Amino acid sequence: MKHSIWKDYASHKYMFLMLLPVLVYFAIFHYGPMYGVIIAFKDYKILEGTLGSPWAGLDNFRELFGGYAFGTVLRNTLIINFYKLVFGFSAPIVLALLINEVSVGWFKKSVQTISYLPHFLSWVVLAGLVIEFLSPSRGAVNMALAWFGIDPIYFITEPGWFRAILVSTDIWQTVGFSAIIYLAAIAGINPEMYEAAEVDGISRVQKIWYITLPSMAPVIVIMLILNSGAIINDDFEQVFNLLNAKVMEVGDVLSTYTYTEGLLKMNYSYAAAVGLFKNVVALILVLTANYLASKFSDETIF
Amino acid sequence: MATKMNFGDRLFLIGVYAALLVLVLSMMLPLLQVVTISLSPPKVVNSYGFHLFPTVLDFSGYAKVLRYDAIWTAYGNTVLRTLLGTAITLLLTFLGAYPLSKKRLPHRKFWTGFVVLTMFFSGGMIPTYLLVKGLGLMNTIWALVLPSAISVFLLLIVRNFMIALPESLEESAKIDGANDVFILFRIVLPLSLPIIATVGLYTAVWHWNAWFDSMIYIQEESKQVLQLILRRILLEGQDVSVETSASMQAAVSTETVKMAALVVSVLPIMCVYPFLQKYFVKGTLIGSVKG
Amino acid sequence: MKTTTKRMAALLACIMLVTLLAACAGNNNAPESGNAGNTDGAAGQTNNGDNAAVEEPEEPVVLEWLGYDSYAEPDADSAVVQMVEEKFNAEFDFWYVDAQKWDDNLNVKLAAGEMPDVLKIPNRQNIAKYVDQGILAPIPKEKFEELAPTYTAFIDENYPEAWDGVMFNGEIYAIPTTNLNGSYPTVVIWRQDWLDNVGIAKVPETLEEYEEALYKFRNDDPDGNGQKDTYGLSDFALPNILGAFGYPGISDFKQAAKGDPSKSLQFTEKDGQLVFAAVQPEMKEALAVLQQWYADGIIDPEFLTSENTTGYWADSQAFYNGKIGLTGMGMFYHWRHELDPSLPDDVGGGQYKAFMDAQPDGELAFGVPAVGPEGKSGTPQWDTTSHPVAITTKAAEDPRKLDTVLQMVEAAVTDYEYYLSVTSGEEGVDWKLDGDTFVNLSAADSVADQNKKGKNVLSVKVSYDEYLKKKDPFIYAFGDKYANINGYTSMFVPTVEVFEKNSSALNKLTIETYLKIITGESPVDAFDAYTEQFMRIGGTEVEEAVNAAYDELMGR
Repeated sequence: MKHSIWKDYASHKYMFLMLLPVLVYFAIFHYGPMYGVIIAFKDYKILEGTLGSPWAGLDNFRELFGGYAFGTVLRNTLIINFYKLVFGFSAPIVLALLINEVSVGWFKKSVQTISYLPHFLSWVVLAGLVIEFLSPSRGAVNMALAWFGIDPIYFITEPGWFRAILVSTDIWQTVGFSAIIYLAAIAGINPEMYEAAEVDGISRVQKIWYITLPSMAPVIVIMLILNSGAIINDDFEQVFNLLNAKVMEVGDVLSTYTYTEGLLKMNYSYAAAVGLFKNVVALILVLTANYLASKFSDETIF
Repeated sequence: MATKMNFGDRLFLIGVYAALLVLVLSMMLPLLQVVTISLSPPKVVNSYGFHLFPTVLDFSGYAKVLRYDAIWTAYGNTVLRTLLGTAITLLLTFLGAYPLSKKRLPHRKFWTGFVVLTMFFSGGMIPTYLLVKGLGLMNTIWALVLPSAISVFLLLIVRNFMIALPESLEESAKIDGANDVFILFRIVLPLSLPIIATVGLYTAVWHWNAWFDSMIYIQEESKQVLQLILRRILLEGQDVSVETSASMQAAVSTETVKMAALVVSVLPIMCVYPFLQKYFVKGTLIGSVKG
Repeated sequence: MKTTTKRMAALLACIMLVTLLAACAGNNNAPESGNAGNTDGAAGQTNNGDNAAVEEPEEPVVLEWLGYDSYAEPDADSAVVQMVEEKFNAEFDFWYVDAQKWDDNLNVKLAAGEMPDVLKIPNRQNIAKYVDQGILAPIPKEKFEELAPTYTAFIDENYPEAWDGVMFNGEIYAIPTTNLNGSYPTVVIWRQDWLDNVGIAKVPETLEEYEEALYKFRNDDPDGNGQKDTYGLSDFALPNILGAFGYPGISDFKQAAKGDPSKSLQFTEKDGQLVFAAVQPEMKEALAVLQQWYADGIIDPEFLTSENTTGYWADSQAFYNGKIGLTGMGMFYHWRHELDPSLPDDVGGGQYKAFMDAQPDGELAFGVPAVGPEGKSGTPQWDTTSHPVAITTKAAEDPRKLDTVLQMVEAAVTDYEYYLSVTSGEEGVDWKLDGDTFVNLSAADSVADQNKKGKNVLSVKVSYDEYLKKKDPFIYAFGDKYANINGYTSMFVPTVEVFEKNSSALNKLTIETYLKIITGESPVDAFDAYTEQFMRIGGTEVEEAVNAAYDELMGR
């Protein structure tokens, strides 16, 4: 037993030679500072440092969970991000498949380039545009509605619409950028598979269904597993810049809710507690997704 | 495409083009607006409605931005960190992903877990700062490229991409007596060009947009990155409390200047993608390796 | 299997050990050096007197400087910095802490045991915390009187409340600074041409007159385009209307909705007690009026996303585009509509200019805040104090450091040309004096450019009324003429922990309730339930703590 393990490692020495710098990196830059996690259980004092600050037990968590509106905020976070995952996850896959169908070179290139551009505009800039676009008095959407005789809707302040706005603008901003990874997956597919299929005379839609998508599965599954953790992690910049007092009840999420606390109180321990809570939830989600994936395919994290 | 398309395929293609056209148009809007504002006087900026095409041209925003010395040094710093950071990330990511993609690696699950766990537990800003300081990286470019050298997310994606590669090519090399390092560099990497392009692009974009680390770790103005300078300009004038004299307001940048700064700072990175697109063409790779 | 695990652990431990050795140096020294700094500071303080005599006076005193709003790292070779260094035999080592992420940035440095000598404090609430953690050193009042007598007298006479803001446990912990803008209430701006068009001869003063004008703005087509597309007001003028009933519960709807509790949780004094303005019964009356106005279409429904849709905070696109006829929020200098005859290319205030660009035939008038049924009126007024500048415990080890800083303060209020240099740059290059008239030769500098040139870096944030008015006589004369209206001054309250703990929840509750009542989603009577809930989830606790702390501060 003893012998065989060393032999096992020795016979893979090149593998470990390659892996070593990576493990060293994670050890130094991630495991090195990881002791900072305990800040969440302390009452952090700047000059006393992480280790010297007094213990606070679960006080920071109590403050977080006991806060006015915490329940609403947590629910909003989960609902909004669940929608983002359901719709936002499939959108870049669909986009990549559509782009793949285009055979006109310049059009393909243009679509690819333009669709990745919104990623470069920050929400500070985009939010103003979205609000103008949806304005009841001068926004393009309401002008179009008026054309059909529908009364203007003040979308951005309507609790019924706000989540839809968050989800759709999020997809719109990220779809092109996220699609790149799937384009790479499609590019790796062996063309012989298509050639064989063409002999059988199957349609384009069938090709996507029977060849392209299954070939992309490894990447799709891993993306789905990794993204499942995002259900608890919201996009602060987006929500903060679009949020208004009328839609707090449906739109206030963990990051915006805890922002003022952290900002005003420069309370590291509280912020660390929020972070730890989110990460534990994310870890559970990812492990669950990974477990579920392992039931149906081989493409899992572990 | 030598075979004739049937009616269903045609219909499908028309749908595809139409959908992409609509999407692309909607995505052009904000950019057009940004470019137009960067070229318009305040009068136009303050008027209601979309500004898709400049009606009155005003280059004063660009003139002001380009006159701003800090932007040019910051440009250099950003380009440097992007190139260096991307190179380091690519090297380490592939060195890590390959062994982890092989089922024969001893304790593969454990080593994967060792890496994945760091996605969920981090020490936070202060311990990391102390580490960077302790390693003597403060005020150097290494503080910007080393702490973020590997993204677990990308590492796992690359790993899964490698899992999907045909095993047969490697096996024949193995029989010829090649070691793992040889296989990675001579067989796996050439097959991985699309994913290399993807990781490279994602990393480059991340480095290009990063500013927080530069703010924390870099003290000297001459070493700051572009996005930090841009952020300063973009957020000017949002805070009421800093005005202590009547003449202070004059110094605040107009929207025209802000948008000009935005255009100037994102233009180069936008131009990177079209050059990488040749690596995303279906089937070219496997064909080239075999032929 | 067991041995496997053990071996794994051993292997892992090896990797961790090797790699952590490098990191260890950094990790360990952190808390230590932090503590070391702390004790040194304390020791230094007690040793002050002894060491001072031994110091060589010829050596320039080195100051690690963070006593400014840092938008860029100042250039140590700039003319201004050179001049100050020479004048005070000092050497400045500038810290750069991004002004927009100040606390994030500064705290990691403090946590790593780094400390500047001179530190600006953007948020006065932090003074208590910094003192607690041994970062700030007290400055005796006698020192002020000895080394900066003119400045001390200036504060004593004009801004005595500024001392309160820098006190903690009966000692002064920072150099108080002032803001002349806080002496002028925010303005009331009307569309004069609209008033003319609907046949109102006098700029409205009472709430009834306001109501008449605003209803006509909505119904009588003031812009003469034949469409009912105009409103009375949007969000900027709402505090003005609240002010007709008493201290405005919310002084800035946009910022309060973004989560800034200082805009909705202000205190007012009633029967000698400090109370939250937002929950006072008179606000219920005010909200009833606003609800009626909203229902009648007087308030632009889009006030929820603010009349400021882009750009600088004082801009009102709704006003520029002829959608509303009454606005506010800005200062007199933003809307200045009289041109300075001594400056040939003067275009007036920035917002006035923007308005005239958009409405070439428009005309605006400065008004007065609405006078309510009980004769109350006023617009919100800014804080009269600004960010104080403190001396750290590290700097206190060398008494020359404090002395130098106080001398710099005194120079900025006794030597006009020195003041102009430290605030406006190099004489002859960035500015010049044409007789008595100040001519700015570098008005186009961005805030970052200003910092780089050393402008507003070494002024210790001194904002001396006499010099400000001497420098911009026309603008302040304009302010004295047009902004001479009633205002609600913001009241300083001492820091109490329970307030910090509850402020974001109380703010959230307040802004949500106000907006729901105004838009008619909740009835006016919902105000009672709100008041009750507000007091229950922390309001009472905070009021009690604040009053106790205030009494202590006032020595009652």
